Amino acid sequence: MDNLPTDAELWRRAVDGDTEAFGVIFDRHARAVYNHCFRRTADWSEAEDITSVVFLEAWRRHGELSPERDSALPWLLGVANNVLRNRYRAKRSHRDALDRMPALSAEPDPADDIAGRIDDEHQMRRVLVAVNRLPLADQEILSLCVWAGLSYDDAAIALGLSVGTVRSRLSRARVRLRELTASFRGEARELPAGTAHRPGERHTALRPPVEES
Amino acid sequence: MTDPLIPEERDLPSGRHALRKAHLMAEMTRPVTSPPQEPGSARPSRRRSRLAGRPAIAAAAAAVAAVAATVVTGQNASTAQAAVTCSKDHDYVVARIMDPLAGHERLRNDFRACGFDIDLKLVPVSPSVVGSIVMMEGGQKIDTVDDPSCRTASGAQCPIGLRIEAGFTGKATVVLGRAARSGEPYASTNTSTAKGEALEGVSVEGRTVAEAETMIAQRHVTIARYNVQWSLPDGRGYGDLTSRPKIDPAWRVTSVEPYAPGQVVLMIDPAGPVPSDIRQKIEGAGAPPSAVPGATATSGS
Repeated sequence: MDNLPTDAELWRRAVDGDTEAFGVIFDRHARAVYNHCFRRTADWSEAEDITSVVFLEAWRRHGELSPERDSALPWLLGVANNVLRNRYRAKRSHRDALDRMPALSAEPDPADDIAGRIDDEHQMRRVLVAVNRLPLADQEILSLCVWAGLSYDDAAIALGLSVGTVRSRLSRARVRLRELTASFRGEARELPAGTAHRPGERHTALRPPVEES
Repeated sequence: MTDPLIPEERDLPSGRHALRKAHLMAEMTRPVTSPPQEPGSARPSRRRSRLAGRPAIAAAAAAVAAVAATVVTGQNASTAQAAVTCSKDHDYVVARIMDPLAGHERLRNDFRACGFDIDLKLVPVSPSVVGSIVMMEGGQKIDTVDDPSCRTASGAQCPIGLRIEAGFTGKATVVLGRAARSGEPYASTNTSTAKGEALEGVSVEGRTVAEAETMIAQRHVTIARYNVQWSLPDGRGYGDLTSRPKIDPAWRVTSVEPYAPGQVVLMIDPAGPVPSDIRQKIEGAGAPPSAVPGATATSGS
């Protein structure tokens, strides 16, 4: 590829007021953030909203960041983890901004594979039955290193830890998960609806145009 | 994905990438009135659905969303309610269309607020053409901003805004396709069977009128008009909008064109002699243009 600006360059331009540069960062990383959020929530719709919150929050804090590497993704996933830890409060913090979101289409696009997305949610909820029994730090490190495929170095940036700590925590998390799934075998069930979501917050990946409470 | 238990990664649903991006950029350039609430702080319980009070735009969810969502940012009057808003990108200004259903005047005024004399018109088009630039003139210093996650049925880019050289002082006209309202005839169309259109994937060419009617009805689409394409042996022809009782169900369909949301026009190749009234219309229209410059139908004398 010829002369594509790095995230670090784009970030500097964005800080200087070039909003389009931040749009390019969104283009590059929204999908990764979206999927990371899905794997932590088992809800595509929730993941979509949280993705918006992550970028809004990243922009709000843009002055604090000077990407140490070419890719801003580790830092964005770190922001995502912060948002996911306090997702209800984070969404409340950006409520006005989310309220200004243009209308979402009333008509699902067949290309969006609605049935497949629902299957994904069932599958992911079954996985989270076990994973959510781990300490939060273990959940985060598994989701970054195993599911999002971040390197130890990048996970260290996302988590604000040293690389050595990432390695040892990941190793410990794997052992714990193995033990959990062994003790769990035969009784693993999908979380009942409502367990993974607050009442009233469960909705399909493509929402109908109705009022939310 | 390294864990087989985890679902495969997916893109955001159609058009949502562009919508979320446009929203983000609108918020970035929105005049700051108050900082985001810190987690846990109290605030009034005003809660308005993001969907409340907004017109549902039927058809072409992806492309509509791309256009509808796309614009917010303002060089001058930058508010989320602006129909067109502008942001700076080095030597260019990026204009985004926030409200593709905004009136002509409002669009032009918003462009003026950004410092440009651009006459932007939005015309109703069939779903797969929504978001496309139907016509553009006078603007060599104007380029489109395309949604990277979108392609039209024909594989073309989906413009979601304009990229204009800063300091552009000329006059330009840009006609952009927007979703049609219910019952509103299209100004520009793709074929009805193209991806995203009302009869996507339906094969009607060469079918009899009766067969095509059945297939179209199964898709809950109605036939607004029957266009019977008569022609004389010399090549001259006439497309006659004919009422259904005068159509022979055994005539063949050559194509189906979108007419309005949920409505199509059947293009028909008739059989049998050309009716006298049609013949008169064809002959009244004069000779066909000759294929060879300078030649005439009676050349040789």
